[in-house]
Amino acid sequence: MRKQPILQVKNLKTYFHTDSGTVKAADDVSFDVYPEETLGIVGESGCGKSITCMSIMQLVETPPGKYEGGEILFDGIDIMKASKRQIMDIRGNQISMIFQEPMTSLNPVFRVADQIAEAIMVHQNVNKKDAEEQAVDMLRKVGIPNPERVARDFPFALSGGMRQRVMIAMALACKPKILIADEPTTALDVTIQAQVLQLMNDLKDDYQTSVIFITHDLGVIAEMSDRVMVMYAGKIVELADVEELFTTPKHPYTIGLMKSKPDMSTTGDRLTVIQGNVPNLNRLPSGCAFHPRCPYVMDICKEETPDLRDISATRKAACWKVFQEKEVSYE
Amino acid sequence: MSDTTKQDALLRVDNLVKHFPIRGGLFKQVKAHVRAVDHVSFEIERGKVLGIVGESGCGKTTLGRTMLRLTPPTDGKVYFKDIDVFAQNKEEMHKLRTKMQIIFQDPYSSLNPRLPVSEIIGEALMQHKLVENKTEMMDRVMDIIEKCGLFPEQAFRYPHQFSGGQRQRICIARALVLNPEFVVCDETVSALDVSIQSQIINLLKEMQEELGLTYLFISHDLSVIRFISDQVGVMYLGEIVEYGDKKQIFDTPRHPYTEALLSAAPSFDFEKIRTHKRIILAGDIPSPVNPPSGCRFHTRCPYAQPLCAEEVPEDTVVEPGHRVRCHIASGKITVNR
Repeated sequence: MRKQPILQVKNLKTYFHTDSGTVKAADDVSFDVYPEETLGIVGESGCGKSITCMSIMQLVETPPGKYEGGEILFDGIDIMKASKRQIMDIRGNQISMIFQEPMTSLNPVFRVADQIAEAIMVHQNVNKKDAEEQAVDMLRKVGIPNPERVARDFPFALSGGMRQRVMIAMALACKPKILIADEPTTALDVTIQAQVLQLMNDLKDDYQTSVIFITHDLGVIAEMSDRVMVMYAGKIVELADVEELFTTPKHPYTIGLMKSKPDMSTTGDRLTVIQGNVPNLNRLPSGCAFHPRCPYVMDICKEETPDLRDISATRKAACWKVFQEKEVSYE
Repeated sequence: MSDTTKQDALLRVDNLVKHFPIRGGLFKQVKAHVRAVDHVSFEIERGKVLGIVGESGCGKTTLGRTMLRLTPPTDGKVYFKDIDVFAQNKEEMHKLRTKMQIIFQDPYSSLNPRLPVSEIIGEALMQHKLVENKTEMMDRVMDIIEKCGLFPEQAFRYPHQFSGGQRQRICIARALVLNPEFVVCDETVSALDVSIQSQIINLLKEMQEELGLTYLFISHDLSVIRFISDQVGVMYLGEIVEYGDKKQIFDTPRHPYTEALLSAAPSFDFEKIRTHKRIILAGDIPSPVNPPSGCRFHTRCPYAQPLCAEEVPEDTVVEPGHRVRCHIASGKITVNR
């Protein structure tokens, strides 16, 4: 039996109204996050994975962005309707986020300890001295050598891997229930990435935090996640348990994505490709947004947009072909 | 290096060194050097792909740029066929450039935004006087555009009207229109989305087979290197620490750094995820300004012994065509793996 979800996103719609049309960055996105699980979100640039998570944090700039509808339920509160105060209490405290570029998300003119201590002081009733002690403690937990000294350093003195550790320390300082990690290792080298991923897994177990892990890297998502959701052009196209998704992908986009990435065991002369380009979000194709690139396209795909349906107890997909196959298998 | 000397080497790199001076102080004296490329030697056979893999700051980009003389070398030689690239005068070099091309990582900053695609691609043809007039130029441009998977009508558009993948196609067309023999691909697919990346990799392979090209393919992505290369060189802090056939490097790596790199690469092969014990290297990549003494990898090497900090390991040929720079491979130290 699955536990109660800790976070429920229902029919989230985050649009951007621009001069060249409405960009539906997150369009009717629904998913749950369960306690202590890692939910991976994978997709190519512009698929809406970051906007979905920024919406959870209410970090989308409005305007040009606009929350057009949906609910985000966390701890009995609908974040979409919550007051500024309530959001401040959640953001950085109960749900926190780490970003891709650790240099631009750290303030260059404050010392590392001050930045972590600030987060602690905002959310907990402690004085500066205690907060700084906690900050040093956090730096030690994220595996920074000589944390007392690093605490007094400015961000520029740290390497990319160290900066990302500082970001993780800051995000976990208030023991959040959910940690959103937006491409946390994309800017890092492979050997450093391996260190940071291991650290995140260890800390997640220690803190019993749920993690929403966003990346475009299929290898990283496979190793980090319990469940994975695949996004394309603002919509979820498939959501399943990680092993199920990678061993038997159902949506043609998921299948194409996995085939087109050379893995360490890929052989042969050519890579399988998904034809065409990622569509422009303000000029989306009719029906299923993937249909111009889909090798299995049918008439219905061009006219009607498939909704995300349960395919099995552990899998959802949005594809007419998958729906058909499911009906066939019932008969 | 003598073990792989063959007659048909298109490119021979001999002890190439590139140091960047760091200046500072009152009279801008040279205070130190960034040792970006340090005594690198290899050969690339005609029609083959040499993959260079390594992490940021290991010198792989500098290696590619120095080989093409886009930046002056500190020491060493590069031979293209039998031509000593660094000994050419300006005019000879200009001629040679048509034979040696480069494709960069970022398709957004490497195309002139003020020129239409036809000009971007045709400019070099005119510059090198490979065509008589504009009509001939357009013929060549249209020909290569189509080969690279773009439509003829797109030739008159400007770079901002294209997506990242299409721009990279333009960059490839620009390099190939001169009929080069050798192309440096510097992280050519790294900035692209997965589904576009595979299209570009296939295009590069097709072009290589059709035109008989030789590539130096620089990437940090092991799976891409494994897919496209014939030979692979692994770089760490300016040195090639292991060099060999693709199979040798990926199936039987001998250098602890190669081992760790392969092990750290994330994979979505579940068989592997379940059984695989990951080697996680401690610490950060040291600065190439003051590389560690002895073996440059010893500060992070799980097998390091006192000797490694003192003595620089020599290239050891462990199999024909497979050389490793490590005291374990040379038998100077023994460890239990």
